[in-house]
Amino acid sequence: MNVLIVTPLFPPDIAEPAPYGKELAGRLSLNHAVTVLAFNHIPEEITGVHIIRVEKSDTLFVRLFHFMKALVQAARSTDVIYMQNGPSVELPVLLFSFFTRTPVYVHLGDEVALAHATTKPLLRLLLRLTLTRAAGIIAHTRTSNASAFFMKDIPPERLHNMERPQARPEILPFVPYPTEAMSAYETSWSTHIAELTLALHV
Amino acid sequence: MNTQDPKTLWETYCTTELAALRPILMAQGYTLDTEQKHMKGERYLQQAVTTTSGKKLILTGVSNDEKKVIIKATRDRGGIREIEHERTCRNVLARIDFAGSVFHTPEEVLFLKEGGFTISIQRFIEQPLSFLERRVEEQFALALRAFKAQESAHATTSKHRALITSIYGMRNAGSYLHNFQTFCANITIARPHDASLHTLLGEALTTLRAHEETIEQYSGFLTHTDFVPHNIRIHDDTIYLLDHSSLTFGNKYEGWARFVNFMTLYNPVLEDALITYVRSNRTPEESVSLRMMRIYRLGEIIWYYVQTLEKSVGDLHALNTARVTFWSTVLTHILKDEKVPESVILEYTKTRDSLRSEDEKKRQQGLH
Repeated sequence: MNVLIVTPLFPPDIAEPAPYGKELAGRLSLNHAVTVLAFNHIPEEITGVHIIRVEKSDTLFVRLFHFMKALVQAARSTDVIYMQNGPSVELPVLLFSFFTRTPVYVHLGDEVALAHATTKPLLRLLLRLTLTRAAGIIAHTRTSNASAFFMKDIPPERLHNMERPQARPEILPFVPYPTEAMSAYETSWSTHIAELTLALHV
Repeated sequence: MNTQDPKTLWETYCTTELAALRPILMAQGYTLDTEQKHMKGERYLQQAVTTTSGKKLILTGVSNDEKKVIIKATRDRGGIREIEHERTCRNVLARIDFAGSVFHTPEEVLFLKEGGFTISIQRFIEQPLSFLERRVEEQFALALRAFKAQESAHATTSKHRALITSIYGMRNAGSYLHNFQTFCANITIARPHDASLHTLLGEALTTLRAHEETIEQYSGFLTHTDFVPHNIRIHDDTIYLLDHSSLTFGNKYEGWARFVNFMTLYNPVLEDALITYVRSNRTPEESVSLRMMRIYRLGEIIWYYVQTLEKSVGDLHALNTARVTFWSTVLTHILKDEKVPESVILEYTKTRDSLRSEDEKKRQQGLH
């Protein structure tokens, strides 16, 4: 299957969902053809993953135009679009959803953007419309109020609740290697990929 | 020494400025300490190479209510610019939405312009132990916390850039290469016959050019370009940043590089720990980026000491010559991506300690 991951942040950005997007792309690429479309200057590379970047330092209108153009081109050979929430990608994906049959899945993973959207009516509307157009929504159990705010209106058949995979434990000098934490991290990601594979039908 | 030598000029400057400043401070309720160690030793040679820098006095004193304070004061145009710039950086930092709980700023108790002076008085932060007196595990944890806090501010969109560029400045791969070329050109002019140093710097420049994209990739992050123990104080597990004028947006490893290079000399165990941390937890490109920034900062420090040679005489001149040699040796090893041998550090430390003046030794006490 061809999977397109659309994300507002990607490493070297640090904030979520950047590290999640990179980890997910790398793991999905073991069984699928993965492309990442991200706002970025020089993205970190992942072996076996095609990354399309749209320059973030351009003005809002210019970068949205370039992103839309890149999305249309990338989606031509895509079976599934997996989008991280965030207004900068929600708008192009929402517009594009009216012209494509490719299913769009929205991952409510960026808590900061979700919290922001609860306080800004325009952003709230944008996310709600995007969720309405989505084939499915990936949300996390043990989630924040902001996430719950948007999840409450989603019909259960389109909502896929799953555990949030763990962040990679740090290997620190002066302390033993985090064997248990590393194992829990691997398990959480294996579970997440398995659940995602079912939800996305890939 | 003639009256025009930099040390005498600095001493004359200090005497004149103190005489004019003392009554202004007295009127505001502040008394200067009798001994001012930040005016002594090699202080007169200190001039930042790539950040805003002017002439200013850094003084210690007490307020009428017996509280210790740090006083920065100047009538020098460059110094005024520096104090005002630092103040702006400090105020904006408090407003930037990033890990505010990590960096704290000593409270500014007075900002005053009087008698041509610009004066900034901040509360002195007591610390039971200096950074290097702490256990290495604690040093590592504090440093990592500080670096992560800096990295969490990433200017990416045009809106971000517009907000911060005018205040903090922005360095990209192009500016790093340009600056490094300037260090090389300046060193060539100052030491035209030092062929081995020219070759070494040429090799460093070629290496930086070869990794230009990696330098650019990790640019756009908040970084403190002079993040070393004497610019921070730690109290109750809180890091207080003393110098805000060296904050800029650039390669996220520039601050790391300055710190790691410093630790090459002062604490090689911590140097190793930080490099290993990056290798174990981050991408290979990030390790390259750290090494490139170390090379860049070594070029800067070599130029810094080369330019002090003409301003120093006697033991200090011999010491600064030894410093040029030492940091050049460090650069040679970093270019090969290898550890600096302990013998090199020991030999240099021995030379340094034998050549340092008593005033400078006093100034260094508890500094790091």
